[in-house]
Amino acid sequence: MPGAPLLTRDSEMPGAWSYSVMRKVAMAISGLVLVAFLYGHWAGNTVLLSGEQAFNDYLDWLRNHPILHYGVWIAIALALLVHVAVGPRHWLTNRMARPRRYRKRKLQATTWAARTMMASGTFLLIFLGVHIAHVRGWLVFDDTTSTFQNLRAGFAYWPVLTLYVVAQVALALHLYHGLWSQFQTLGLHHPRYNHLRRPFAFLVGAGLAILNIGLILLNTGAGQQLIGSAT
Amino acid sequence: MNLTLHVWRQADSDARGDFETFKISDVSPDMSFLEMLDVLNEGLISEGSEPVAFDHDCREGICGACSLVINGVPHGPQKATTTCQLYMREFDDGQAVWIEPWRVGAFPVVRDLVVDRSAFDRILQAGGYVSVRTGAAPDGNTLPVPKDVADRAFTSATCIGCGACAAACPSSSASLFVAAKISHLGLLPQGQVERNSRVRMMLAQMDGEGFGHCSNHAECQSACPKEIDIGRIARMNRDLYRSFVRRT
Amino acid sequence: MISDLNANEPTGPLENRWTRHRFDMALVNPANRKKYRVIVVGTGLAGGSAAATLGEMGYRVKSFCFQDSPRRAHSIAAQGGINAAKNYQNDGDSIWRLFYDTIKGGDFRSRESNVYRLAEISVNIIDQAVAQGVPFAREYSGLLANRSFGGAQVSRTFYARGQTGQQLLLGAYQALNRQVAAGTVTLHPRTEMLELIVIDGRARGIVTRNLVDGSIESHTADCVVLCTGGYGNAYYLSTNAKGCNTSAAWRAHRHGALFANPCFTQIHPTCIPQSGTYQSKLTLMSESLRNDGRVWAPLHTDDSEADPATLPHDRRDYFLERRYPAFGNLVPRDIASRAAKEVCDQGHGVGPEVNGRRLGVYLDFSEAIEQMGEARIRERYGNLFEMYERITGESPYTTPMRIYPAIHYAMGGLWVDYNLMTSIDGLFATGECNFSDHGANRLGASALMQGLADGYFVVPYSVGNYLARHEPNSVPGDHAAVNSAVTAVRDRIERLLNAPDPQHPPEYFHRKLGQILWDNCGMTRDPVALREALARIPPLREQFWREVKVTGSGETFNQTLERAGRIADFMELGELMCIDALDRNESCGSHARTDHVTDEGEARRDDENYSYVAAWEFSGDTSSPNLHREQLRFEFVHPSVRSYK
Repeated sequence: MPGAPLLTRDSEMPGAWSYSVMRKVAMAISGLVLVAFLYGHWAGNTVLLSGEQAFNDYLDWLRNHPILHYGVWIAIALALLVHVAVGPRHWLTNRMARPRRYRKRKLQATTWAARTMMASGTFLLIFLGVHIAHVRGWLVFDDTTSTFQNLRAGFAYWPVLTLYVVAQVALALHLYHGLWSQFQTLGLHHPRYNHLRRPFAFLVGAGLAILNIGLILLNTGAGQQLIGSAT
Repeated sequence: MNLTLHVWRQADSDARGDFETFKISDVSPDMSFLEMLDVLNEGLISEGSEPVAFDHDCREGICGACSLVINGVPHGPQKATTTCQLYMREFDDGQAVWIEPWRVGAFPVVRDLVVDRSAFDRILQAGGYVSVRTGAAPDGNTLPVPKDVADRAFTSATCIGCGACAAACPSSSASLFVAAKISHLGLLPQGQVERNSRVRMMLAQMDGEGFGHCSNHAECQSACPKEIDIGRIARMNRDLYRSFVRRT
Repeated sequence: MISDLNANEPTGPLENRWTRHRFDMALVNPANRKKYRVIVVGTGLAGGSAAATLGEMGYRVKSFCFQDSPRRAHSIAAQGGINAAKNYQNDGDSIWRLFYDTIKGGDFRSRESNVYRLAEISVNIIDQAVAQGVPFAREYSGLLANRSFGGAQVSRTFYARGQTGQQLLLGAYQALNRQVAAGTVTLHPRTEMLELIVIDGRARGIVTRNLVDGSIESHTADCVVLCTGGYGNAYYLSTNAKGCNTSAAWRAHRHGALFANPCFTQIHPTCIPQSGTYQSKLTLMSESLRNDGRVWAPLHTDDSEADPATLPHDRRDYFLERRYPAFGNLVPRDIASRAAKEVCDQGHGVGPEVNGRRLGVYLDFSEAIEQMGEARIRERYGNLFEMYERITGESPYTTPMRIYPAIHYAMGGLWVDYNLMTSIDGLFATGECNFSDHGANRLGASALMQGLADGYFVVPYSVGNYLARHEPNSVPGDHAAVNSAVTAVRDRIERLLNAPDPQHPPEYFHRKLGQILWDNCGMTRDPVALREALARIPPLREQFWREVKVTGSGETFNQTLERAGRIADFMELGELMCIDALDRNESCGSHARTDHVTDEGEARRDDENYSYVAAWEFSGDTSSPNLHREQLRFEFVHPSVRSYK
């Protein structure tokens, strides 16, 4: 006979983190932390538009608030760690849970975003590496040591710009499913408000992507010209 | 009408299995899908071949035995309908029909379209009950249950244990099945005493059986012949983390 | 008339009999119970509840079912409800009234003591089910709701929408699961009992076939409880599940267990009519539909194809209301069924023609929808209406349903005494598989009651009483009786697989048998037709054994072989049904003999000569069984003529 031995009242009960549901709860919470960070990240980065001096002041301000600075760093590092530890593990289990695939398959309800979570997540992780290298100056697009100038120079280079924009689209997709999914995982379910869950996920996910893309585009040469002509 | 059937054939759980194609003619639109397979099988027996094995029993949509994936959808194209209650008027003349078993690792194929769903039994054995001794019950009207709560408990309790949820789930998760029972008992006052241990034992058993993990695709509620909704899963998840925070 | 069967009934005042009897029963010390092994075959309401309760008491229980899970037993399909004499509605119900209604509904062919016990226990069943979490329908007060059901003039039926059987079975299944987890019950799903092991006159075990790999196994125990349901599938088309069969009971019968009243088979009036010859089963619509629906047929035969929604009232014949003004559409099942048959036989039937006849009458909800609103009707019958629409493609909200009677339940079954023990020592039979409580006709919502009463509250006591008088001892696995039972099973399978002139699949023969039984031993019977059936069944049986074609082998999952074995037993039981129907020269309950009617055309019972249970003993020759009679004594009620006019 296949399957697991039957748990009984005398069995030792597994700890919280051996439950797939609890790991998904962790996934949801860490995702929410990351989304909150990304909104803050966007708000902070709007100073890019005020020029190099303002941007450097912002960086200094961050360095002078180590508790905030490192607190945020630790929070997002932990959140990312949880996300990366659980996501691929569940993805792998799910694939192994169906050793033989259907020949014919007609999905009824799921979305493309939901089915590509692993792909969009992996892509975002790679992008994150590129982005950090870009910000830290390990990837150099300009001969100065200025972070500000290196960022702008990167955005001016079309392959980098494309990568940034595509990453935002991937982020929107990832968040569309992730933000809807977290309501279910966290048990946030109420007949009166359920119809708002999908629009919320869409608005928050797409909103973040649009804000980020806007910010990036305004930091390209064309964007600067646009700002110049407007003022 | 005439149909081309592509039917999964597999001698036993270890065999590789493959599709076999049959042409069937003179199908009446008033036949049920299983009656159409009966006709096919009687023809196969008459010509000395082994008929297609499939699970079925009550043929009125309540026992949960029938379990065919028809053209890529568990229980076929009609919503809220088990395979046995699916009628041939839902199909077109000349159509190709692909018939596969539930493809879930935790439900190994027994033969052809028959799978072993004992994993579901074990999940319920792990805690899907109220521990009341026979004869120890107080009068049925001792505990009033608000009508809407009783109705919601009933809706969750209509699960027939067919397994279409896991078969439909892109992750092969059994969450909807487990959640239905947890909601049914967790909503009623009689189920409160064991509410924490129930959700923990059943979910531990579920994970142990090799099902995948719910990824909120919501395919299960589309496939469920009893239209049990994924709100049950949300409720189950809440019950689980709640069980680590507070005692009943 | 001499009664040659002892039912071991207690005596004294009816109200005290069960209490007294329980006190008189021997008990097994709790510490000793684990030394006894009990086999329970079947996991429906009777078997599931019996196995769970026996396990809970501490016996070591093995539970068998042919389905892939105990939860799929056919009790799951019962729709309407379960009776209990709670009198929550304060409408004059009582244990005595439920007892009386059941005796009267059974047309005075059941045992007073058993029926009274059933009515007495009914109240405990509801309490037990509620405590298990069975989600019965409730009122806005939060208290349990009731409805009046099938001929009852009080509202004593508890229900869970149209899925009462499912909810009660899940309750029993959960209780069973609890015992599996506790280690007292071992489940054997996809395992079919094919033989009974009898040693020195005692039932000591069974031989089973594992339906997955075909292995033949023997299981021995201190006693055996059969909870294997009814034999309605003898008719091929019935409301039973496809797998329902008589094999376990018939194997017991061939070992000497008496088979009682096999001709008492109930016809259910509200089923969906047959649509074609390929039909594999008939679907029942809960009889609760008759509470709000009105039954009619066109008054003129040439209106059979007229649109029922617009046909003027004066061209409709509300034949139940016309013939039975006091009960109207709520007359008992047998009366409603026969009235529908008569109307159709006279050419007033509606629906598609099958074999040249229109077999259907209307069940119309248009007035109920007008009065109560569609929402109210949807709440009561929504799932039934959906089911009807899925099957027929017509919506009962706009077009009247078409209904026709179908075989539904078997009141007959293994003869049992007051302790539910058959005539084989140590072999018990509970639920539909025994004959005990419903007489010649079962009231609506009483099958669930009987199954659970037997399983939760009767057989656990009587099994204990039996075991207390026997030392626990194990039968060696290589005992001669075990070996011969195993050999018998193997030989029979070989015969089925290797018929001398294989021609037809098993269903071919089943359909033929079903047609003979339906035509000659169905809704009405007469001696000529019954003799004709008796002349046709034995040759059909011979033809079956000569020409049945079973492909595949016995060592694999082989559904054709499973069915062939079950049909072989129906071939023998079918003959006994006709023999019994011919022997009973009266009309009573479901048994309607056209040669025993009153001048008004109603059934005429013969209490003088037939107030007995006909219990048939297998003689070695299927065609000439020996008749034993258990004389029924009515000390507390006086058999009256049923009148629902």
